[in-house]
Amino acid sequence: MGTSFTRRILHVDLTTGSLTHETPPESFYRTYLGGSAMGLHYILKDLKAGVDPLGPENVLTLMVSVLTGAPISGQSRMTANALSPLVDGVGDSQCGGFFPAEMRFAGFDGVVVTGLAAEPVYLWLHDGQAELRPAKHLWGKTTSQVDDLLKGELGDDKIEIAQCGPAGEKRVRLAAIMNMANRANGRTGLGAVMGSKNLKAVVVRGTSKKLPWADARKINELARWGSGEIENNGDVLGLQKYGTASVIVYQNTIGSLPTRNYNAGQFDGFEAISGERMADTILKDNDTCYACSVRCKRVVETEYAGRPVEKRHGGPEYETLATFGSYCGVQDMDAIALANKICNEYGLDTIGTGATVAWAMECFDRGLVSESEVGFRAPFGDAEAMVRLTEAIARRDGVGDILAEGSRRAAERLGRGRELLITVKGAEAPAHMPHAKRSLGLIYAVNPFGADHQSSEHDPMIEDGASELYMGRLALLGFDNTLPALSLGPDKVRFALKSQQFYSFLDSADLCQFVFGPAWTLYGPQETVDFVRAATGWDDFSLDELVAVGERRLNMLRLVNARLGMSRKDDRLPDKFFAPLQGEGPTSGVAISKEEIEAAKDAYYDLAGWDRASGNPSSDTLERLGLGWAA
Amino acid sequence: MRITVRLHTILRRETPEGIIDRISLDLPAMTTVSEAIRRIELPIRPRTMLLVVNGKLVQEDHVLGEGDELRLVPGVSGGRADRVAEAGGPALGPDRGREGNAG
Repeated sequence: MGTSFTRRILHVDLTTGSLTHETPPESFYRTYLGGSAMGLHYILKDLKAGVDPLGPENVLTLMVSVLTGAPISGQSRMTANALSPLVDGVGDSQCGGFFPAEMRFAGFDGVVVTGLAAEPVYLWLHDGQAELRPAKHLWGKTTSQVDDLLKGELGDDKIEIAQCGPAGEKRVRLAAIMNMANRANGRTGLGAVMGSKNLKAVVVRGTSKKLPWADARKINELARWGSGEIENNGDVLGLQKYGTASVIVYQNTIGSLPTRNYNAGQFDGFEAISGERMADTILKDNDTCYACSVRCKRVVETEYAGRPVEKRHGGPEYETLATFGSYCGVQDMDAIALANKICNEYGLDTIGTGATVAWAMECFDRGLVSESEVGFRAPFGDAEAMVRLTEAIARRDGVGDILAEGSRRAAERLGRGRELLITVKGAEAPAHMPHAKRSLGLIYAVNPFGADHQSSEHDPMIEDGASELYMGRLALLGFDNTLPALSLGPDKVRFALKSQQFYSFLDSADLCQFVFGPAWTLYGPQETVDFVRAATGWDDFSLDELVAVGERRLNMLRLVNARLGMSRKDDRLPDKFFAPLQGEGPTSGVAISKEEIEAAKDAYYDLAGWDRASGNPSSDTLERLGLGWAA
Repeated sequence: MRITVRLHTILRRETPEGIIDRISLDLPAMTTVSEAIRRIELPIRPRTMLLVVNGKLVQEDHVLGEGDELRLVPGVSGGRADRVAEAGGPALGPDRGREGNAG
């Protein structure tokens, strides 16, 4: 019986060029597992207060986990952490693809990057070796160009590349870390952190895919069962057939499809941007991540205004269809696919970018910015203007230079449009509306890196009408009954926190939230525990320990923010959410209640063991989680 | 009376002739949504789906009228989907029967 960790963390000081290997003990892996929790360990240890997120002192971590690279669906994920240049406080983002598994095959569990390289460099990790190489010839190149150049230069088309893209080089605060020119650590602007360090790319390659799994037979058994189970799970089958875009019609039906910068919850053009329409028109293929049977990634081919969208740019996800589509009032699938390509080529988060474009369009419609300031007319519904604004952000051209700061900083710089923002801690809200999914209002407010839809389970999974599969799994986490629709009472708060802790584990174990989860996914809580045991040989690993890993990581995120002086006052929804929604559908006229959110925050902090007044972890909670050292 | 049924995502039927996502039904007057659904051949029957008539969410006892458009919308969630064509019970987890009664 082996153990599944490579026990190699690489420390990179770009200023001096030094590369240091660390071999953490097994207890380190059992405490953090990998991903976000492992990265935050180094950030809490090494990061000093008052650091500029785009300065050399920022600490950027790229972490996989003890599970990454196993031959089973949903394990090829990599987490990036650093102080965020976009949101107040800590940044956190996950990607899929083949890079994460290949990083483990290359012999590394994680990379901790500090400093600033004098000239652009890339980090080359292969079969346990690490070296920094010049990347001046790659600077300014787009993601697909860099992919081609590096594969040629290294003579190996099986390398995997995580890179910052031209947007990250230009410190666009919405910049992503890209791999495959179609996968992203999208949120919280971490591509700009890479760019600010002159780190163009991290390249990984391992010639052996053999990792010493404790119980390979059990992993294979779980994998085989999962593959066969896809067609019995309506949610996962929907993902396979229509991608994340499968939920457009559902979201619109329940009034949760943000429309015209979150002014309404239903979009009259919803069918034109649906997963079904994509399948019937521009979809060419499904793509996947390493060893995953779900194959939810879309591959499209089309053109807009004579400009091609090639297969290598993948295809728009649900969030992308919403932010460039319904948020902007745009119902042109081809234009959205082109905006998605631009984001993938330049390295931009499609959520933050699309939402920032939507904010600019509302400013234009309300006369807060003029045609001469923008350089062209940019009303809601104008597909061409949406594409032009996206490209302007990517290049920091004209008005794009202001919008590249993200919508909140753009509003501050212009001194206009603050009341139209949909940001929490500077993060633009994603395409699931708390008006229809009430616990998301709480989670958007309290989440340490701003509004995020992938940090907790959504309300329909526990509300009246929830399927027996969901409730059978949630019972393992202590939820025996469904809850009323649209509630945000103490039971819903407990659901929000507990499921947030579960998702927080997933982001530490670097597991895909469409494959592993507490309710609807292919694998539920028990199979997730079984997988951890089979991979690591920790036969006494329990569901309680799993949740504690997630709770630990959530507290670590919060601790970084506390060090920066953040507190309850920052757990604030945008004013716009408290005004009644316009438009049609079940959420028409619905507003979030300030009183309800504040009461939910009280209950949440109490349950989390955080101080009500400050919203930060108490010393008892930190001691219980083994985090006394970080306080 | 005649109504149109719109089938979304996993409810669309794949046939050699192409995708079927729109069905016309001739129904007696006063037919309810649940009766209409029973007349449709679906590839899968999710335990939960949203029922939408002429753009409005309705319950399954809603009475349909001439010219109505009925959309069947699986959620982020269709819930656990029982395959219609297969008579056997739901699949079990790899080494346990815990999910044997999962709906």
